[in-house]
Amino acid sequence: MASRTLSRPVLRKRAVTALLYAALVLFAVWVLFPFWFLVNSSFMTPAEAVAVPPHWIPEEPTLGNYSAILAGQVAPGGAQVGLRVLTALGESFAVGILTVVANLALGGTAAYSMSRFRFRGSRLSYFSVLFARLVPPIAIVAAFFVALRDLGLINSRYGLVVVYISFTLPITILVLKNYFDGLPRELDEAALVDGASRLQALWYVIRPIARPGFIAAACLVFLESWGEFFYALTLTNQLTIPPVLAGFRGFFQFNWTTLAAATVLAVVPPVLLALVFQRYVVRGLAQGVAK
Amino acid sequence: MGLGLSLPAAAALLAACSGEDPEATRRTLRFVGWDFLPDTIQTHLDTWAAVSGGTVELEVLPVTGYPAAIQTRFRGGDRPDLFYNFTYLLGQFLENGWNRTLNDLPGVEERIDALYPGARSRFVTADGQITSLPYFSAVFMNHYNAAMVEQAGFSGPPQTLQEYYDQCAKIKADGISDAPYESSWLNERIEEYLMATLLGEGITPFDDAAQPVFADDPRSVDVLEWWRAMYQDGLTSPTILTDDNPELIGGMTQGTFAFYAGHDYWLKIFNDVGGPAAADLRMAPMPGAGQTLLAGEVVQMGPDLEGTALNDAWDLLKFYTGADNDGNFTVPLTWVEAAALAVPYPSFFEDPAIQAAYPDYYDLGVITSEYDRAGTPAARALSWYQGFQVKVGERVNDMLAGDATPAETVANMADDAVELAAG
Amino acid sequence: MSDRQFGLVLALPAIISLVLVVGIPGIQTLIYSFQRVPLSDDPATFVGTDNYGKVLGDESFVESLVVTLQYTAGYVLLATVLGLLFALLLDQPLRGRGIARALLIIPWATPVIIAGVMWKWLIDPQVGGLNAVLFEIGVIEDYKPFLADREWALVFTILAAAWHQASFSALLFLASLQTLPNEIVEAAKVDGATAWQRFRGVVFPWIRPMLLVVVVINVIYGVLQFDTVWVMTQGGPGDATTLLPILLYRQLFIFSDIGAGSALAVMLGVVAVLVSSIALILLGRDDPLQA
Repeated sequence: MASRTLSRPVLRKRAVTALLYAALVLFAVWVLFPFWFLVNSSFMTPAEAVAVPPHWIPEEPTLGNYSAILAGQVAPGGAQVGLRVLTALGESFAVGILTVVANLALGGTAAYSMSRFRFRGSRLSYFSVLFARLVPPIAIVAAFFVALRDLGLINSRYGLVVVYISFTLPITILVLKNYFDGLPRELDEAALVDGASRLQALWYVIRPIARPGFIAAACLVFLESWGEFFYALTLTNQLTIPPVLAGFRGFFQFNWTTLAAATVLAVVPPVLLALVFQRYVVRGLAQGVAK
Repeated sequence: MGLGLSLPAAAALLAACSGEDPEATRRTLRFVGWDFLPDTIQTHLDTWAAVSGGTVELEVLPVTGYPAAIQTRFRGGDRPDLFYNFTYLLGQFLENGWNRTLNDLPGVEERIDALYPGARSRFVTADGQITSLPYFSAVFMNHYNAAMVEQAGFSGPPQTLQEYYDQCAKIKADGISDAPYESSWLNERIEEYLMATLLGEGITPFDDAAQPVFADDPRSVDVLEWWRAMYQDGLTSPTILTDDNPELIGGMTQGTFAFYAGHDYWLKIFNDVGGPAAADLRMAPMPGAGQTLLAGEVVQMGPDLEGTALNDAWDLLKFYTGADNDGNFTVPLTWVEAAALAVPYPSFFEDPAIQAAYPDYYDLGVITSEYDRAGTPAARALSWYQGFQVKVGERVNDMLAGDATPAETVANMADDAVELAAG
Repeated sequence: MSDRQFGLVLALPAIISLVLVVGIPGIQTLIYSFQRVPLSDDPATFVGTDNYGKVLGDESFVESLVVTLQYTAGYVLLATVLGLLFALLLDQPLRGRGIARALLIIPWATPVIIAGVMWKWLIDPQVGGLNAVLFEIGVIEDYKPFLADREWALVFTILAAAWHQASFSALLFLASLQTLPNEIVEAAKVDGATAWQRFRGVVFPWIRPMLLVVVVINVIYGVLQFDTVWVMTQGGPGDATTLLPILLYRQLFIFSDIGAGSALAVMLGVVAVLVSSIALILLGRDDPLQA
């Protein structure tokens, strides 16, 4: 073996690499071990899902849970799934996208302003943005309900978007202000010298350069909105996916396998989305903290 | 139509004769339910609409979170016309004027009189206000693994609390099951087990004025002694304080537990899920010669109904909660088929279609005799009672953890009830 | 229009939005906390500090506060430290890093309420897989009913929520690490600094601004944690996991006491501010928001 001839630093380096890969395996276990049981159950019949001891892989795998959801049939546990999982996934997607758009428009301009200008109360508003997240949803949901009802926005995706702004906008501003802080001011100034108005400078110069930051903030906001349960529960009739998933936890039926399959389907779109934009997310957030 | 003229149609006819436009007060009704067989609910609403000529829209919410969602709606001034509700919310809804009482509606007395006597207090307050009609009902039963009980040398399930303890102890000692007894002692469900056990022992929990007289009965302490012994002597599922549906279903169908005390529809869930022990599971009355706890949830009517809309809503409510105008239990039949849920009318169990719909492993003789001796404390439908449920959960937990004696626990719970009732 | 005015105009839409969706309901909660609020149409009456007296006088408040602080400490520690470790790991040039970064999204894309359901199932002594694994590898000698034990119940409700949140933290840290110029690290290596010295001297100072942001966000999420714990234990066994938001839920939806519930919500906000401040002082940075 060649190892006899290896020097100590090389050995050391190999040991470190081995350790790192071991850590990578541990990381994968942390993520996948709980999730594996969910995926596993989604291919099981109810009887197998409650087997003692649990089965590591389905012994009699079934696609029944998925076909019920995708074709709107009755699931193996008896749940009438209909097409509501698919409809709700669509609504969740729409709510997520609209929330993102609203956030980028509102948060983008505000973050730019807080990064570039010092106006009366600018510090205060930056602080209060973060502490806006301190208000517990349980306490203020009644106020939202009344307001949305007056606006005719109960059980509406637009109503949810308005409410979701309350907890996503602070994050957007936080991320984007950091991002703008990292962009050299000379960019704005050069644009202004060229005769552009300040608004034009923002739109034509800053916006394209800041795209990674926008995409990063968009992904954060989309995921926050995707998993939100309590507002969707109280302000809609199972409009988005989290309350639909909660609906499978019934009293009179055992719907765990249906719930598992629906959850797997619900996790796929954001993961795909994040994969597509992964480069941008990391780069975008990265820029944000650059000094 | 002729002789089969339904009530709304008749009302419309009357209105027409008096020169009023019946359509003026007719509108689309709003029906809110929780997520159990939503397609079937929709089918029932469509059926009703086709027969009556009315229109109704369904809104479905998840059961997990339903109390918060429905209360948020009413607090925000959104008041649906018909809605599922939990029994423990009845008092609060009545106090807030969120539901319409049914006393003035034609034929309501017949409906109430047709109930099992023990079910009446769920739907009628002490001062005679009719708040609701049944969505479903269930009796508290003792589910047991017949093979395990037999293997331990017993000829049948336990008849008394002492026998219950002895059987569990023997089953554990013989190594048949490490955790013979399972229930769902989640914080807010403990009160139900307390009431079921007190009633089973023939103890009156509350008097007519909703005063906690259970504290005056020394046997209440015995009940809690039994409870504590079951837990502290390791005869229960170790996770009994947090076990929910999936855990207990697996434990029963796989043969981990020997007993499960709970509503009678569980036997069907166990059989539907299946497993090595599913075929051994049977159902017997709860130990004790007293009363059986009658459980179940309700359908209520919103406060904003009048004219033809009111007639429509009443017609739909009757259709949904019992026999339809032809005397068939159309809606309850589907709940039996899907989940062995009942409605608390003797005529329901006498109906041949219903009898045929129950699975073979249900002994309707046993169930109806339990309904005959079933009851539910009227206090459970009062507005302060929800708070009492939380307190009972805390008190019993303290006792199980060894922080209070059974005697102290009984006294404390009585004090809690008095204090909460006083507001 | 001056720069200041322009800045204000840019920030105004976001500020107005936040005032509408957070400020007004928040102030309403504050007002309710000094009132008796009937659920019927009767007007609310001013009761001074009665609601606060009621909340503070309840012995369950103090117990719950202690549990909440323990929970938050564990949650913040776990979600932050694991997030940092994941980020450091995924920043290494390892094979399979792309896939690992995709895995990072899974916990975060799983709605928190489902994460709770999933973990409860996972740790169940009968149907769950965790006991089987721990038993096989010899960590435990017998299947352990984790949720039956007061301490373990708290640990696992923390784990379930931190499983979700660690990914969020990791992503933010990863972004920060990406901007660390390679030359600085290489220079440290040339100087003969060990890995630990490089971390202490170069990497940690670089990511500290982001660390402060992550800690503050995690503290807020920790103090307001509700969904996960509710579906796992409903606050049990006993009151072992009865966090303040669970008490809040009871005040508002079981005892139907809007006044006392609002007072509790205000206290919850105060707790979150205090805990964040303490965390920031411990981390030794005066201004977390000037990243």
